[in-house]
Amino acid sequence: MRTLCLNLPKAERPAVAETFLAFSPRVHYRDPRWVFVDIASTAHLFGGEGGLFREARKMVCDFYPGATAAVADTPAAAQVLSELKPFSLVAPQAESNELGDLPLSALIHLEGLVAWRAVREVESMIDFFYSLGLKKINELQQVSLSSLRERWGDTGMVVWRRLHGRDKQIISPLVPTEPLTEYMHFDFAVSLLPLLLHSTERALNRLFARLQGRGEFAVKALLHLHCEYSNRYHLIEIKPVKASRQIDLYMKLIENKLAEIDLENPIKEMSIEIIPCSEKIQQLDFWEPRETDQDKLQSLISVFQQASLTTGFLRPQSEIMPEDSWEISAEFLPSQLLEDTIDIDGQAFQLKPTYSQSLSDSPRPSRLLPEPEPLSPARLRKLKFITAQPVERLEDGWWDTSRGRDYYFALSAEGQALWVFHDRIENQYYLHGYFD
Amino acid sequence: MSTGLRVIAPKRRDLQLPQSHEIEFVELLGRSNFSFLHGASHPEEVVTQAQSLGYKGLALCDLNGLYGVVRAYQAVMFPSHFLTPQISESANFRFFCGAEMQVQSEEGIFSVTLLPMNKYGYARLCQLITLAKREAKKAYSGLTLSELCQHNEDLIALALPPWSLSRLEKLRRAFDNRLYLPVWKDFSWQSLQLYNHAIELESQNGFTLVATQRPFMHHPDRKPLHDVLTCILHGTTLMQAKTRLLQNRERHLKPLPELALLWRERPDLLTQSVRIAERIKFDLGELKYQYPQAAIPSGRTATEHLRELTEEGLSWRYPLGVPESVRKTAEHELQIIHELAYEDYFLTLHDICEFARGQNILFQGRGSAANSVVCFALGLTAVDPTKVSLLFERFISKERGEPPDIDIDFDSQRREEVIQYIYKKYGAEHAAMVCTVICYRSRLALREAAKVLGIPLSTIEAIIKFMGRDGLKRLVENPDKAEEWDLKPRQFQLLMDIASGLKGFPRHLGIHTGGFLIAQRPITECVPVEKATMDRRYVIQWNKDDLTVLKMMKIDVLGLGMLGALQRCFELLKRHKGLNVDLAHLPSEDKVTYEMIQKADTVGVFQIESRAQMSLLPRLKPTTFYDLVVEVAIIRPGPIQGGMVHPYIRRRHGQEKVTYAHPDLKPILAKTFGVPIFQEQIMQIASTVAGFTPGEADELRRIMSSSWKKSELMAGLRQRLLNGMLQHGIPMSYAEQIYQTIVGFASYGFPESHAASFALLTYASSYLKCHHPEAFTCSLLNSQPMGFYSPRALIADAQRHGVQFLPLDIQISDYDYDLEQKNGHWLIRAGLRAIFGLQKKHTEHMLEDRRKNGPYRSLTDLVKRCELPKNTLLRLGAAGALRGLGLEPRQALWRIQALELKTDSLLFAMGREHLDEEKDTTILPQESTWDGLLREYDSHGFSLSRHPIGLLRPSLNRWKEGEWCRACDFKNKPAGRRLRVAGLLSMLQRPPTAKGFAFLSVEDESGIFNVVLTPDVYEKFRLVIAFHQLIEIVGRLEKANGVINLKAESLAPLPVGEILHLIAPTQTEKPNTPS
Repeated sequence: MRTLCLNLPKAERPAVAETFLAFSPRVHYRDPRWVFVDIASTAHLFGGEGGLFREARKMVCDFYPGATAAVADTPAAAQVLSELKPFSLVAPQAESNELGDLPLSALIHLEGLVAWRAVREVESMIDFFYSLGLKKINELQQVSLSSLRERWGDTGMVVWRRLHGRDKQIISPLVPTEPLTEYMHFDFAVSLLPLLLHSTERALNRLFARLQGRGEFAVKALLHLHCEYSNRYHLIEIKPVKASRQIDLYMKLIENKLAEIDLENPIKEMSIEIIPCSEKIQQLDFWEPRETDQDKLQSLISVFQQASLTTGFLRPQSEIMPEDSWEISAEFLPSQLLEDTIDIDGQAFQLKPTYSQSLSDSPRPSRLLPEPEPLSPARLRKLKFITAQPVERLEDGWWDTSRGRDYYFALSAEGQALWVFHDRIENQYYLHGYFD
Repeated sequence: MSTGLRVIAPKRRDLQLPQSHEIEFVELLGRSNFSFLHGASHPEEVVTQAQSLGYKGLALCDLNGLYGVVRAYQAVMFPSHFLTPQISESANFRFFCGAEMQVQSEEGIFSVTLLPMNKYGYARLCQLITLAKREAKKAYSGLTLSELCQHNEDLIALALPPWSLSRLEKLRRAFDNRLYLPVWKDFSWQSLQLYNHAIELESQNGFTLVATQRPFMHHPDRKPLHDVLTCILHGTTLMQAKTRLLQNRERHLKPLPELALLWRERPDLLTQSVRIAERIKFDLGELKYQYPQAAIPSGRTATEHLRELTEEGLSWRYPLGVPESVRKTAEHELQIIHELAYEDYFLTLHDICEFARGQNILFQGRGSAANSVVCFALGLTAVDPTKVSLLFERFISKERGEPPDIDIDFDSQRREEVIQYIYKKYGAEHAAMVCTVICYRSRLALREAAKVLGIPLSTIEAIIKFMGRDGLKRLVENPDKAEEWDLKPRQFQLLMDIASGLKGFPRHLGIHTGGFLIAQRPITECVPVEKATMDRRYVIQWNKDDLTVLKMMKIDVLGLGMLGALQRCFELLKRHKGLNVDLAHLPSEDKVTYEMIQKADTVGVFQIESRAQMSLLPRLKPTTFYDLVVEVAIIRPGPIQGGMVHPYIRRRHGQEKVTYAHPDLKPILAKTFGVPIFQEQIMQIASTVAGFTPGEADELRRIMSSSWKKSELMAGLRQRLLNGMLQHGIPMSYAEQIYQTIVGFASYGFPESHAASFALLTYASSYLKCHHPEAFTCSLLNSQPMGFYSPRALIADAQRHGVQFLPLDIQISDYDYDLEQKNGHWLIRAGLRAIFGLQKKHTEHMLEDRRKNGPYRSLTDLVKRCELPKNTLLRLGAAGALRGLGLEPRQALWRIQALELKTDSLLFAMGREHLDEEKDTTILPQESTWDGLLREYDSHGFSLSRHPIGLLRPSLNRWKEGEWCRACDFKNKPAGRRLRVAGLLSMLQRPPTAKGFAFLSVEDESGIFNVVLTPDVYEKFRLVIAFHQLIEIVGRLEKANGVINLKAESLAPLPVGEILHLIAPTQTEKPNTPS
């Protein structure tokens, strides 16, 4: 048996193993960041172990910068070498010698497909041997099986077997089952299209490598984009005329689509999903579920949108300023207004107030002007204020742009009930809405 | 969209609008930052603002507690002398205390504010709060409606909205005509709706309304801070807080004209607040604290009993006859104690100390009244007051009427026994610990402020790292750094403003280190008690300053490691040498001891073992006990910051003329050569030459004892002091120096009485170190952790003084270090306590078995007899303690690892496979000297036979040519000589008063030496210091007045592997350095 160990720089999902199906059907992923490939029967397809190792190394470094790899007889030795002697290709039957001059602490990586059951036990074993003056693996290799077994039982036995290359671990063929998705969270939200496209391309590359390994094609790609400030999600569907594995084609379609859409603000999260198919397109299932009410609603909205009508549902927002306190959403979503919260701890409780939660119950005009309309002194004089003192005083945003308004009910000369505010910062009156 | 337009036009009651000056108002729902994240003003600010606005009064009703009421009360009753302007209306202003309780009912949670009408009502309120808080975490309440209704008597209730009729009816049944509905107008629709609802309840159901402002801040400018607190409460940012924030800044204390305008429809509701206030007869000053009556023999009064005990004590203290002056002083003190009725306090202290004495727990009193003849006679302190001229009235003053303050230090390892005794004797109902209010400091304030502004965590860390120990000041002075952290100037300014505002706000309660409140009546009638973070500990809601304001007496039961060490030393001397020594009977003014002190040979000695103290000793050259009192007090931030140290030394040695800035200062400063060193002297200076009134002087004392200084208060104090001194013709420079001393004292300074108590321990520890170094070192090692030095340094110091040590041995060593006599010499046998991670119970079990059944014959015998866990055996083996069984450490470890330790196994205490150990052919590597040293350092932190630098010394020259100097050679080298040394880093100090200088204590095989690092050298080599212990130092030798320092020029880590390789070329691996 000959094993290639790919040591990825950070934790990856099990789906990563599918990328390396190109090198052998026998691939194994071990949580959180190792992939083992049995190359004994496939190396010749790449012109020998050297050729396969070069290609694997290139691929892993392209997709996962900082990754390392090594080839040895057993998965355990390959893992240790990938960690401590990266990119070493050990000749058959020579791994014991290769391990010999490694420090004792290398023992912690001598795992392969099966991780140490109790890492602390191995760590304490290493500490113990250090305290006895043993510093190298070859010194530990001199300790007899019975001495190790006597002191550490099964773990001692496994250590001895792995040190002497006698722990055979079989890599089984991998059956792909993982969904073809990539998720990205941007620590610093992305607002430039080229940067977004760059990230998208990297993700697509990884997904298409998996497609290649699985021997499948992409019917369509779905991009989910999450905007940072507006908290909105965009769904972009890319569907070429026929299933394809051409990354350039997909990138072009994505670029065109993104250029059409106004994303409003930076992207915080992105996920890409590939809908795959084998070379033959699947037929629709006759027994697929009937259309739901939600589907009907979606269809209706689609029709309206097709006709360029502004449609949507008013959804109250927990905001202090009236113009921010509702939004139109394409879908009907339940209200999620902030309320007082109560933390319970046994018999005791703590109330965390939402001081302005009742703003959502405050009277608001049936027609709120999109932009408050400044009132000239002449026009103001014609208005009759119903209350001398403001009905509401709203202040907000002192940490950014201060806003302070006193709201009044007023009647126009025609008897129309108006909503007027006095901007306390600009010292200017505005008309903000009409009541029915 | 809602169209519920309804114009609120309440029926006008009074046609004639009142003028603002006719309006009288009492704010009944005052709230401060002691509502923890629910209020944005300090209690003092709230009441002061109410006073300045001309209110008739204010009730401070914080959430679920009375935490801030005493501070507010103090601000009203005893306003600071140093704050301007003084408020003139204070005479008519009344302060009320109360609490807003969150209550659980079937219909949900609601709030009700409770105001006590009289002292019974106050007691009930305290009990209710205690009930609500007993098992609840910080900021939580567990009160139910039925509990509230049960304890309703003598309390006024203000039921806060939202109201439900059924709940209100329940409350009315309990509170009857003491129930009110508070209404407010804050320009929110909600308040209008609630007002309408209240009017309905008034007209239809007959409830009584009262106007309030429901203030969460004293001034509208605090709205931003209130929003920040709300964000912290919800764990959110300002951007995301949305409607969690107040919709405007109206919830503050408003001027009366504004209130008149706001309530012009219903001015009667404002007047109602005054009528409610008139129903309240309770004032915090009424709290008559009663000290628990001590156990007094029948037929005797407390006065008589105290007198008897004092007389008995004096006969014991002065067996050759009580000096007349002492008798007179005692009589005088007893007279004052009687007049102030403090007998029970002294008797209680006596009782506690008697318990400690009975249990052989060493203790010593200190504090304002501790160094009196009565305390000396009662055995509370061992400082003979005739030797230190301290005036009793200075500390217990009839005029000030303050309670006496006596702190008692007990052996820190046995303090818990004393605490348990107090609980047992007085009961948990009558004794509780005093709290300390933990406030936001710069670092936390900045962290929270940054979180609230949504600044990324990595940036916050970078800012805090830059800020270091200098606080916000460093950031304010470096606004340009904002760009580096990717912060806009406005954002940075906001961050500074918020953090500065937040700094000093209370965050939570902690337990005072040892303050106890003991009362005759249940404590919960006097102050609410709540659960502390420490398990099974309860604290009162007030801190020590609050108790002082209310003239309540607390007892401080503190822990002091040196007392334990001295006690152990006395026991060793008695057990091994047959010497009966105690604190009060040590030979006084021993010349040899003072000679040792003058040489700064004081490693391990109480208070004078630090680098700063040691560098002063050869200059000060103490020859009397009073010199030690000065020595203890002078190396403190107060005198250092005031620049008093060098003048004192020069004047003491006659190198500078003793002068006084004013003739009146002579009597105050004569004993310290015209240099103020003690806290009392500062107070006397202020009174004498700055014209401070007794009240001002007392406030000055409080400021000096407090660690929280308000900038405006300090500015006022400075101005007052400078003005006063200038008027007395004292130069500005001297006045400024005195002010700087006060600032230093406010951080930390000693009163003379305190210094005298500590100096006694300094003398005792010096005497023992000088005459019984083996017993003293042994007791220090048995009292670890304590003091300045690690066991390694203490052992090395003792070895340099000729003390010999015997190694750890399972067959001989006890848990503690002990003395053994060999050939007429006393040697120290290392105790098993030295081994890291060894559990005391296992050791004691093993030692008990050894005492009963004799020495262990083999490892198997040890395992079979003691059934010790493997870890314990391995630790014993690694420490070399099994050599007594014929096992070298590595051999012992190898064998222990193979043993079957399950007691039910047939193979118990034998090897699992190699029943015959001869069959185990494993050859273990020979342990090198360096490896052995590392093992010893890892196992117990020291080596009795070798020092790492001593091992490296032979090849240092081969590694780097040139002279390598040893610590012991320093005295033979001329000052200014450039030296290269190798050493083991023992300690790093960067005192805040040292202006960026750092000081290293470094040791080699011949001794300890001090290294001084200038700020730039420290900055350059700080990573070497942080990550390496074995270091090479190049620097110049400095010698002045017998003090030797090495002023470092460069530092570098010693490449141990490389150096060792030069000793043993076969050893190629790089060893670890000892940790």
